[in-house]
Amino acid sequence: MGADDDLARARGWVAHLLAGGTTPWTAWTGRADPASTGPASTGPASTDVPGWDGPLPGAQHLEVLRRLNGLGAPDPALARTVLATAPPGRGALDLRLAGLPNRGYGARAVDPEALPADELLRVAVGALADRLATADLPERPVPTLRRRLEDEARARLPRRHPFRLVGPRARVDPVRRRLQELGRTPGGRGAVHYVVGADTGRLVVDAWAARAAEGTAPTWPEWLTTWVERDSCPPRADLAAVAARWGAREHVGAVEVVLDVGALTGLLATPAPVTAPPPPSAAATELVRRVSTALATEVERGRRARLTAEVLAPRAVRLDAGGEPLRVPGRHHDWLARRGRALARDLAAGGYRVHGPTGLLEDPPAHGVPAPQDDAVLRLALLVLGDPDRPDPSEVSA
Amino acid sequence: MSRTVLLHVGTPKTGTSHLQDVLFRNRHALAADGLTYPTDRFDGHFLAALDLMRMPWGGLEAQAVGAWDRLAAEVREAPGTSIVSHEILAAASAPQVGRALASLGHGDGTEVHLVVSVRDLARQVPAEWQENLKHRATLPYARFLRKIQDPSRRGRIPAWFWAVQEVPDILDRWGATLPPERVHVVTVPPPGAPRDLLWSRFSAAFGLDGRDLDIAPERANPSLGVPESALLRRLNRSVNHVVDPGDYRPLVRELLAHRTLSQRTDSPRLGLPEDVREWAVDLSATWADEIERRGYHVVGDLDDLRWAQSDPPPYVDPDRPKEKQVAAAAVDALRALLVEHVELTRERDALIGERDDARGVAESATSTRWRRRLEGSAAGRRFVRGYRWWRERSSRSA
Repeated sequence: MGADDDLARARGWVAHLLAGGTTPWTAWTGRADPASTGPASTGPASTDVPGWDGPLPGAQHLEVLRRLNGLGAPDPALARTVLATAPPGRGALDLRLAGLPNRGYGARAVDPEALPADELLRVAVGALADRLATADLPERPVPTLRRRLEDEARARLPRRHPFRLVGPRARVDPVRRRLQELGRTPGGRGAVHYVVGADTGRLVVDAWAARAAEGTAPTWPEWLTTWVERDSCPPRADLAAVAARWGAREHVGAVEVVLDVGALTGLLATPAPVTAPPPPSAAATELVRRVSTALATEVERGRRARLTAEVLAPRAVRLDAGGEPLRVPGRHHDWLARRGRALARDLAAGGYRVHGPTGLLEDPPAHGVPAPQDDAVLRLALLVLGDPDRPDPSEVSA
Repeated sequence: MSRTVLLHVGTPKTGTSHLQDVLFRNRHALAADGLTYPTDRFDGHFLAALDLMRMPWGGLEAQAVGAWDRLAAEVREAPGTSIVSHEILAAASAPQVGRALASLGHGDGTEVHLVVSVRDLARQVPAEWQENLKHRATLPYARFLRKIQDPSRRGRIPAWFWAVQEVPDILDRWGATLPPERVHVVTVPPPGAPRDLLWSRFSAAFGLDGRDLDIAPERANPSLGVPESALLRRLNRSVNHVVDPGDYRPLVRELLAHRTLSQRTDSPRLGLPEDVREWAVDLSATWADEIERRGYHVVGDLDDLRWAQSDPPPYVDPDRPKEKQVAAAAVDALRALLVEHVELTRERDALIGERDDARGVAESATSTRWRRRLEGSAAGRRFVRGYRWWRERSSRSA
């Protein structure tokens, strides 16, 4: 087979994928329409593929499109976005398909199906960031002045169980929503400030997840090693510091710490158990981190935080429901237990009432995976990319 | 709209810092002469490149949002000729190149000229490892050499190395849509050439000849010796998880590497083991042949790329340095840090003094203002008399 034939085969494959095809490159024997086949080229010049006027896309772009097509319902606009995506960060440039003419330099030509998940993930994340950068944010209802005054007045009325929830957002927000469902809204004169916590491992994972959603966080192993080597607690996981802040603002007696949200069932006399949703999967958290990083040079910080928290994260969590959450790896158990004991000591020294077994701090359970797996993150990235852009009720309320 | 754009895309370690420094310092004089270097800060084109290439860079990316589009808009609005220059642009992928060229007016009446400065691989390889060290890398030299020679090029370090150093591929990506006469390859002279020869080549390539410019070297990216490189690698291993990137840049990269360790020019220079040197020389020669074949405009001599040191000094392995030399470099580093610490402490104390003085003046002004206000009324005068009587009585009883 000559160089022209090889290039015609590649152009044919691009056209096949743009039309929603799923045939792997190694099994592809078709050709481009002879009428559209331009002169052979060894450089990244125009491909002469109908519906595609750019250079021959990289093997990683084409493989991502093939896998997306495999999820069904191919979308021509999405296909063009994927092929035109500039993968963010450092990694391989546009890789050449195995079998194309050798230029004598450049990276070794590849079988797209055999590419490592990380290379494909860069393309998928780039395409997701491109789509997200221009996405509409869910509207936030602005309460009227009258509504605000009513809420303010209601918050000051005496109640049987006046309370407020404080602490890490990842902990507080779902519990607040659940309590509202159960008819318990925060506020009331003399409110008890419940610091919503969890076991130490979950607090640490949440701290990284929050950082990941806000900007360019290091990877989970890099970030965790930083705190282990410093032998200190990430500030966002430091419940004692949260309690101290609210204790100084109110008084120590007004602040209590809840390690197990189920304890709120009795404390607030709710008609049904208070539960927290399961933690997001490791893949969802890592996908949010990667996309947020890719958005860092495209979107200013405030909008980026809202896009990841209100558009991307709910979708990723929904599409990976039941996925394994992240946990602190066993090799860091000593550090985790030490930080947990320090936290328990600080809470006791501060004089705060603690609900839930302090064993959650000192000997936290280990459930989940010790690090995000690229294959799982890629699978989720493709699902999110292929997910129709229709509003999702859970996203709007998030 | 600029009629001509000179777009300089690398490669790194070819004197680009000096060129950009001269262009920046002389930008007003150049503008008066019809040559625009559009930026208000030294790293303006670096930020634009980060934006174009969606590249996080130790937190700097937050300042890069929209930077490429702003730069491109300035170029389009500028009369005459504009220059855009940054060496990391060498790593742009085909989609990024397409976006960059279109935004600069390519295909829309603007004449884009590509400038690529190149140096032989036998000097580029050690320089790139050192550059990695100055960005917190910890991998030993031997592993770096193995990674870049691995044909799979898998991983961030080899992917980046080849993206910014593989000259024919860079020319493919950036020059695919430009006629060869608009592609200018500037070669870096071999060691021993007159000091100003490289500048005179840049000057010719960018049309700076005959202009009255301040070209005194103020900013450069100097190289390190073998023991200094070994010290920096060890330091990275020790501090990476306890020194944040924002602190690493001024303290380690600037103060230690650039201002201290690179001044130690008596130590053995970093080279290549013999087998790697032969490989690098051969590869550079094939690139020179390829450039010659394509008929680009060469500023300098392609034999500079084919240069092979006839009698190289014995190879000194930075993975097994002489400990005495490393210790001497470490003493210099400690001295630099101590001097810096003393200066910063003095500066801090001076600022504390200024703050206290300013606070005293503000308090005195406030009390004078109150006394005057009180003495303006009969009741106020009675209050002041009463207050003085009470103070005297209190001080007597004490």
